[in-house]
Amino acid sequence: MTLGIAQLIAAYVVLAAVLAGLNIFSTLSWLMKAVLLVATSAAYLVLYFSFPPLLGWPSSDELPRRFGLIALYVQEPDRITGAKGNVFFWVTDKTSNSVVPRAYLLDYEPELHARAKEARAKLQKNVPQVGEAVSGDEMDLTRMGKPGEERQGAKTHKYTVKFFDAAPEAPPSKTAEMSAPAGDDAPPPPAP
Amino acid sequence: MNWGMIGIIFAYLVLALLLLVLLARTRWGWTIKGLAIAGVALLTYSTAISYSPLIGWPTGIALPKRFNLVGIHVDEPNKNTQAKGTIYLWLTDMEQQLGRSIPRAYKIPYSPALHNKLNEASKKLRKNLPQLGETEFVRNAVTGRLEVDLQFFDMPDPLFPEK
Repeated sequence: MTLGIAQLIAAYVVLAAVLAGLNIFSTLSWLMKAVLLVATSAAYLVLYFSFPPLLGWPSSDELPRRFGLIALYVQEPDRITGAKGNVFFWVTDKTSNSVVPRAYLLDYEPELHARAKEARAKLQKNVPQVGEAVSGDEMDLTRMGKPGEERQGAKTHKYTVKFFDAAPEAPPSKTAEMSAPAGDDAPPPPAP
Repeated sequence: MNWGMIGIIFAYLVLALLLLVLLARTRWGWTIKGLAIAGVALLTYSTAISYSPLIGWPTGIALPKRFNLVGIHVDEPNKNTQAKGTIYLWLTDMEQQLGRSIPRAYKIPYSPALHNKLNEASKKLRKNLPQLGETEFVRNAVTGRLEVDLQFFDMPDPLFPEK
């Protein structure tokens, strides 16, 4: 069972308080008991302030099986510093109803970079992109053994990540021609 | 390893020290000592498996003063669900590695003025014009609260002009 931040801190505080309480009855000197009590109290605060710095950074967890791509960011390998490079994805999980985006990181691979670049170019043209992450052991066998054919995915050690143009979420309105186009890039209404 | 991880390890070292003292320097029965060991082991295991699902989600801490905008996602207010709306930003801190550091996700409360500014910045991002953001705190004239305000500028071209 996984716990949220508040539950983790609450569990820690309860357990540490019980242990500190029990230690009052130990054979230690009162000075040592006082030091332990102060250290325990300080540890509550340290734990409380330790979670926010962990949040917001990309996760190395598996990408959702189907996701909406919001943005991506590539750090190419650097021979001088020895950095291996990463591809970062900022996505919403299409398999759940959550609208909150989550950041993920994958190891850099040139093929993955090429796919990501292509997806970004489409995003820049206002074509929403949906991604699919297939585990490495679930390769698309129908695409193998066909020489000269372009690879349909970029296989990493964990995934094959593929991108598609997102299908419209609803059929077009019958009155679409009458209404103004929606979206950020909608042109201003004509002057009267 | 960032400060968050160091803090969590410190907190658990204190807990381990308390457990050690309980085991070595008290005359409590082994039932209590056994329960304490089981409690600490369970909490350590819970923290280890709970840590990973917490990572990657946006944080509500203050935005960096200057940042490179990487991505924007807006969850607008919804009258039906009473949701107040949230703006999610994905950015790199300009104070670290000239903005080429690892991007971090933030969330800030929705405001229509901020949404408009972000729409403008988003349009420029789509035109391959990197956006430099600056965070300011302004006092709301009505509520008196400090609110986040963002200003966006086209990122200066780092290349020198040809001779």
